[in-house]
Amino acid sequence: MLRLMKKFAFWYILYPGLLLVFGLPLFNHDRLTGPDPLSLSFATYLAPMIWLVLGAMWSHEQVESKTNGYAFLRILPIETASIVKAKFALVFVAVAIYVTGCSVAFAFVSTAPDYLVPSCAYVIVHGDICLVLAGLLYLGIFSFGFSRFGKYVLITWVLLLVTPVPFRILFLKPRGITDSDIMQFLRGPYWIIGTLICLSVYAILMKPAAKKLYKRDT
Amino acid sequence: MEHILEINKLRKEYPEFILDGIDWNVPKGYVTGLIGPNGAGKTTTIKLIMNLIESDGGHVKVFGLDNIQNEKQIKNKIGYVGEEQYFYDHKSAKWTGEFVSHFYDKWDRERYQSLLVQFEIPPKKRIRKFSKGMKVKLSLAIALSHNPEFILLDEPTSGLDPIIRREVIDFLKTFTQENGKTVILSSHITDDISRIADYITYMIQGRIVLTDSKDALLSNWKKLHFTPESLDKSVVDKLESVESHMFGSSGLTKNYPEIQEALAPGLASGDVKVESVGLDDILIALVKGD
Repeated sequence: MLRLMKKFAFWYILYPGLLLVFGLPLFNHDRLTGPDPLSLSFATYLAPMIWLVLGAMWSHEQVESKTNGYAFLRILPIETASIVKAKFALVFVAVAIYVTGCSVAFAFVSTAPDYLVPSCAYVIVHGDICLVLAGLLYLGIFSFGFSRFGKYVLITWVLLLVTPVPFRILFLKPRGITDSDIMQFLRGPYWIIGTLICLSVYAILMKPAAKKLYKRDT
Repeated sequence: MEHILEINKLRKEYPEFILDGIDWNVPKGYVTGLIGPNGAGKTTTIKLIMNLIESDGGHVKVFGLDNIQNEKQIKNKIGYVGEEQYFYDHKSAKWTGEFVSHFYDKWDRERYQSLLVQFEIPPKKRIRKFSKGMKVKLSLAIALSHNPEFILLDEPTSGLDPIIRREVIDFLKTFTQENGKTVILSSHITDDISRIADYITYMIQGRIVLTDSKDALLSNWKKLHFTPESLDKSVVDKLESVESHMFGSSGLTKNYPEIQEALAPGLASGDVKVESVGLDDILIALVKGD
């Protein structure tokens, strides 16, 4: 499985690289304007960028589809379950690295430790959603093939990237919900329970995904 | 005789084609040629052996093991070259060998490199820039570099020019003779099979219609040229693909040793002539008679 992960890793290295490109100016901005005691600007800006992991997934599957990668892998002595595990593991690792990176950054820049946990939780919740979506999208790709389902991955990705701003303006603002309120909510235990549920769902999705891929390729 | 492959009532249904519950045993240590016209079911059978497609019934045992339950173990010992060659074509042959090597227990890096040299495959060139012939050769290099016990070749020479085709077949002939491997070579090009096969299996419309050793086939099947009065009707009735022309008639027999005695007077008088046949003559006769 590790060999496969190594083979598939390119896209998942490329996109976190892009994240860094996006993220670094924010750090710089913060240093210029003074530290953000709540680390809110970091959390709210950096968390949605985790959706880029879905972009990595889309790019990777597109290449697999174009090069008939699955047909090549089927000839080799590799179990379908190993291929699926490697793909799921890579998405998980990419999300985990990003979440960890953000958390370290928050700890580094935040002058209000009280807000550190909710800031991290804010990114983790995005990571949880990202994992579940990735699992579902893989299930779709393995069921219907990339040529038929790949566009939905792209649409999901684009929607996730563009909706946070309208969501804030149209939904959160009229109701008077601020980032501080969200952070306050994230102090509770709910996000931990949510994370455990999402991780379980993600792990559970691997089995039907492997079955679908096997069925599709035979 | 020990069998490396045992197929029992294997069935696969497509809207316009049915692999009709075939039984087939392949002897260990020999080259078996699988001959049939296009659409006969050769590729379907080989894909089912490799578990690349799902069957609708029946069983396949390779090395005595069920091919679905022991897929990984079996593929580890099979060298497969398909009709279409699939690679990560944005990568090089060198990269491909390196990648593939991790999945086989007995990958022989030196053999792979020597095969690349022998086949004149540039190791660093992107595979998408390879010709069809180079892709087939690369596929062969991969298939033979992990010391496989059983080699499955599905129309490997299809679409190749005669020079490359001959090169590939000659290589396979030498390789199999030197290493005593079990090989299934599927093709509709009977000349290729004739050059290297020990056993022949004919497949037509999803059924195995004939299987025997090549020597037995070629000694049992003969073409007879005869004048109408020179042969008993009972003999003529048993001939296949009988044709009449201005010099007499001709037809194929599949039991030459059995009718040899009845032919003796005609042979002595020169009214009957016996001609050896090729594997393609037998194929044509089987297709016509099906």
